Amino acid sequence: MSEAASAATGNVAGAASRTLASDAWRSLRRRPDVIISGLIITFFVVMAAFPTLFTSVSPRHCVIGDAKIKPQGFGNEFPLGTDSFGCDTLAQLAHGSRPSLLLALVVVGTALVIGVTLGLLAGYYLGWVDFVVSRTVEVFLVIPYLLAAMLLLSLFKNVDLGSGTFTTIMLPAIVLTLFGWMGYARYVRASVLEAKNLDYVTAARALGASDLRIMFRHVLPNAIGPVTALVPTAIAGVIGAEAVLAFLGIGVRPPAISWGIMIENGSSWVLGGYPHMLLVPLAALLATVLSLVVLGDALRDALDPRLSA
Amino acid sequence: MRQARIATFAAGAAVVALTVAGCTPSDTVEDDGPVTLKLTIDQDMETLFPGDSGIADNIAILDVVYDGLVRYDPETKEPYNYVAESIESDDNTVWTIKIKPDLTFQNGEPVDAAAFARSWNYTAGHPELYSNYFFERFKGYEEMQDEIDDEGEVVKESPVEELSGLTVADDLTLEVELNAPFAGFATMLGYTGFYPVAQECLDDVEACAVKPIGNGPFQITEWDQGVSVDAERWADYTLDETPEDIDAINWREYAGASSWSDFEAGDLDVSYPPPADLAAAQEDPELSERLAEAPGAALTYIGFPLYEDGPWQDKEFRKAISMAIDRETIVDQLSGGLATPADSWVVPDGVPGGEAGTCEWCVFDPEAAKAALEKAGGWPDGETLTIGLSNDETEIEYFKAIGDSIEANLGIPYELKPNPDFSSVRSEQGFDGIFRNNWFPDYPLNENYLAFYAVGEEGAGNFGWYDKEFEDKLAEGDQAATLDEAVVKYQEAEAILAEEFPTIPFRFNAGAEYYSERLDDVVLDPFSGAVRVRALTVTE
Repeated sequence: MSEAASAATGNVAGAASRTLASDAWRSLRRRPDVIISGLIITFFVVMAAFPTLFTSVSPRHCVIGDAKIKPQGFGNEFPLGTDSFGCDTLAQLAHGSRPSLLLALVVVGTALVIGVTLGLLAGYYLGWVDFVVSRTVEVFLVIPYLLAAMLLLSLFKNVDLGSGTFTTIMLPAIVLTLFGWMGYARYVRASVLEAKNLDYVTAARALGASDLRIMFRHVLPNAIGPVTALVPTAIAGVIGAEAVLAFLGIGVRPPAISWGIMIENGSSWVLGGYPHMLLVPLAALLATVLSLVVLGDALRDALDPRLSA
Repeated sequence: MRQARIATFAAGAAVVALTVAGCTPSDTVEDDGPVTLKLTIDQDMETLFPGDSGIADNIAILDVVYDGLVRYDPETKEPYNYVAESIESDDNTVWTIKIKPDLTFQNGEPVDAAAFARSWNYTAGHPELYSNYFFERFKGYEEMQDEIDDEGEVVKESPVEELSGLTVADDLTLEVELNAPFAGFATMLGYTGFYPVAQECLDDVEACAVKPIGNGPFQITEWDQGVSVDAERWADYTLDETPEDIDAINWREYAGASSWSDFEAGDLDVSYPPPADLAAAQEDPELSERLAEAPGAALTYIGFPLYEDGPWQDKEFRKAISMAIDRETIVDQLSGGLATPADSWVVPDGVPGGEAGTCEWCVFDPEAAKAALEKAGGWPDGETLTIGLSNDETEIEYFKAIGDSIEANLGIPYELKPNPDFSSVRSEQGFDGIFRNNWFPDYPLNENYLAFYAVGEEGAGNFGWYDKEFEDKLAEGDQAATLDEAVVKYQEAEAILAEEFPTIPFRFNAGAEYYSERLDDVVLDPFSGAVRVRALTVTE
């Protein structure tokens, strides 16, 4: 393995503490593409958490007299221009990052919990539990993801949940989670099948450890690796899906702003001579998605020793 | 109340994408085949029964399927006799209508005095029908109505089936007695609700609402609801207003989505671009030659739920909202020059008695608006102003801009509530915030813009607004000896409306449509803005 690492720690205790995670971290931080991706993602996460750091204008302050102003550059009143209603594009972009990213986090987080739990149970107990979980996974896998999402969201299009940050993303979050957990369940199940026959698991069982303890203490930590690598890519996928749904008018709902909604609104003005209305949110979306995909790739390489040969 | 959509904008991206994919090159440009005119239906349409048709789309369709007693000149907007031979009265109360001889319906039944009488009696006896309220002026209307309790349940059905003021004097003569003099009665008779119906139609009203039996130049062959309406030329049509070049008409339903991409693909004869495509269309010199325009008569205005408690009960608050809206810039940005900001309740110059500037508080004045809001006691903290409207994408854009304007100038947060059942929510007084309204005149008289405010009692109507003085003025106008005197009285009624300020005028829509290369003589209806199909010529 890493010579530099061995030299730095230089003793037996240090070598023993080298877990898979620290190995992965070590290899990741030496890749420039990962560092750039990480910075971009951090930038947008900070933007989502504290949009007011980036703009002092409210995204709802729209004066139609200022409509369709082209980007004026930073330091001016409308650094990134305005949209067809005179809303400040920068303010929209900053405040619109929150629903986009929050939706992605909520969906992937929930899907991860559901998928890992079911996969763990199925792989560990086998028998009827496995039968039920595996068949359910198959059923959900054969339903076309986007079609089902569009269908459900159009059906519930007129349900009024309110206009808080969380309620506006609730419907798309539920639907996307519903069709997003199967991959984790399958991966975890396969890894669990592998891990549970290892000697130390057998040993733990022989020592009388409970099922729960074996699962969470011994099996899961060894099975979670490949799933972790899926997460950034999945987040990127949800951000993309949000844009698609918003484009169809069934995603996050106005008056809430998301990047998808900005893209939808901006798309019709590209040929009218105002491409910035589309390009600004699109650039933010692409940068985020690309960074997440790069990160996901690197993570997979780092977490799977077999690939790094 | 009538809801007009003059031009369909919209950008239902999904729908556009799908329709683009489904487009095939036009197959209409063939040499000898029958000529099919391809038009659009812009909003959800539920019926084609004359007495129940109240939106721009079914009114436009029925205009070629039925012939009315009078029709209107698109230039002067004056009525002229069409199916009627003459319409006369000595005292504006008792009217004698003579009908031209030998006219028939498309099923062979005669179009005579009885055909009009049965249509009017039916509509007058069914309060759920859209045009029912037109018959309130007829003698015997009250006696026909069922007794209804406060919950709207029928307590006692009225045994009277016919208007006592309506008599068939002979085959071709109809006598009408009104409750009170109404100088504008003859002007009103060209409206859709006054078309005759065949006996076969009343025998099965449901079938007739889908496939009407008309007396006009075209007959409906099929209405595939939600998809399209087909009509073909009626070979036995005897009157002269019919488009010689057109053999059939196909109306495609768009339900609020844009038809522009289909028009560009050559699949439609008439359409208007959504705001985003407007600039490109206006710059296209070839397309600009195929633009028909008509001055606007349709008023879009904002109503308050005066039946609900809230800040809007205070006139100062209503003034504040009105003066906070930057009509000029909004209309300028969103309409592409095809609407004008409104500062009156009746379209200026469009109909007799219409005058600009009757609305004192329809100017954009943020300072005065803030002052008025303060005077009204401000807006309650933490509350959101809801704006009710239909699902129409163009209207959503306009009302987003209105909401933005209110929020920016008064600091009142707003939320748009688009609702497919918008019209019924409105008539059930279901709004708890401001809401959109639209009106285009049924007939050319300023009274038509005002009459629906006269609800007769406290708390009734779409707005829950009642003013006795206003209604008295309208009645005075009705009883005036001449139309000119009546118009002045109606103007005085408008002045009361302007003073009490229950609604806010927002914009007058101009009519505008682009048409295909093969059309000629394209004239727009001065009221609805729809293409006057009967005047069209088609060159292949």
